[in-house]
Amino acid sequence: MTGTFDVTKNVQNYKTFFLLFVQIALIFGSIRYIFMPNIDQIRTLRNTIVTQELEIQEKQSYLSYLKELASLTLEIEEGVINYALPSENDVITFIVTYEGLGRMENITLMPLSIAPGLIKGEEEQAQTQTQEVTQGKEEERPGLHEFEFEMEATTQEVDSALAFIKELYSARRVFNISELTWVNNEEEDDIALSVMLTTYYFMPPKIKPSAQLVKEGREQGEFIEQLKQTKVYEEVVLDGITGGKQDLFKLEATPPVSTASGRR
Amino acid sequence: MPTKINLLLKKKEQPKEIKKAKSFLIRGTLVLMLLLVVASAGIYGYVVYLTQISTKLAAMIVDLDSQIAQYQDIEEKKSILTIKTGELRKLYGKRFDYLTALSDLDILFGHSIAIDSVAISESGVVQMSAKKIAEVITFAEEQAFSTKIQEINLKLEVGNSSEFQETVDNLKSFQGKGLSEASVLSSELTETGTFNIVFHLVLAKTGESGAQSL
Repeated sequence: MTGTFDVTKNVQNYKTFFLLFVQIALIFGSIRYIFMPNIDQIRTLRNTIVTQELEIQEKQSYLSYLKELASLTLEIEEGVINYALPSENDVITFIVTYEGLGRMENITLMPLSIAPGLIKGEEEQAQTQTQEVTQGKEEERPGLHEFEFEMEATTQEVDSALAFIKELYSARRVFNISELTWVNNEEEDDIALSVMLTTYYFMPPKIKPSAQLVKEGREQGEFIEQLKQTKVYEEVVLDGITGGKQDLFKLEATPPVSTASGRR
Repeated sequence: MPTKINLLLKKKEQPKEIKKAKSFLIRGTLVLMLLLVVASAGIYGYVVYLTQISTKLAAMIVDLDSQIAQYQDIEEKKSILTIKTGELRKLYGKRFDYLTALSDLDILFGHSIAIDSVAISESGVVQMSAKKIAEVITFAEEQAFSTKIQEINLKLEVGNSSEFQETVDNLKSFQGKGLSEASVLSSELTETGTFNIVFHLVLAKTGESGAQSL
């Protein structure tokens, strides 16, 4: 009787341990083979979703910026920037600006004097251009091109002279002053200013449209706004000019006598 | 009344604690299994739900990409504008402020000289011709440290030989006080008996102690 009781008791204990073992195995098994992989997957999916949401936000913002550009902004920006830094040797805006500066009060500006073909890069470049023109395949290299010219002005007032220098940097067509000479003529009671200037044009390189560049451009808004504040001279200063060479700085034949030169 | 005798072995009753424990374990195991099934289903459902969201978002991205692709010409134009604007910023950045330089020259020498002519280059080198109009030439030390002017070649007209020496000594005294160098490049006696002296003045910049001999 005692032995039977012991066996039963032991079986009861084995069952208990077995059930405990089953429970532990279920918990660990579930965690190891069901929960952990799924939780990892959930974590990955949630990260993916966060990334996707950010990407969508960015793309939506980029798309609305492109739409905004397409509607009007790009046209305005192109107008401002291409005036300041043309994509070709645009002599019109250059002459308009020069003439406009000459219309300042109390300033007498000497007529523009610039030899045809005088583009910085000098003789060698001029020769190359001549060759290219004669060969009928003129191809300019992309990048920034510059040419220098001299501007001479006289005034009788110091304030006007200072205002004139300020005006040079206020013009939208971009100039850089490489040297400034100020002479006080006591005999003639005037101030003679001689300014060595450089102006530029930029041949755009062949590029693939780049979202990165567009985004960079978005951050240039403040500078473009400042550029909008610069001065554009009325094109009426060119009244009376009927035509002539498209590019005053190219080495090419002088136009017929009947055309005006663009100088006052 | 005859006595009834039960010959069957009396089943040994299990202790209550063991019964309770056994029952608890069986129920607990069932409940646990049920919970695990529910939790697994929940997790699996959540995975499916998140996958669906992610798929939708991926589709939205594809859609946005195709919309953006329609603006390729705008992107191209804007890309070029960005490059040009970058060039413009560089050009603006390298501009030398001539108005400030002219004002700095006035401040540097005060009213001790009268400027006849001045030529300023964008590198900050000044060629200047002036007359001495005060007894001594003054030089604003603090301005020397803040101006963008680097060097001044000053052609100065003085009345006679004693004034010549005084002027040289005068300018020499500013070495270490705003000038890191003050040297005489040339001098000449004019037909009218005055002297033209050309000084080479190098302005001291912050951190320089700079006195060199004349």
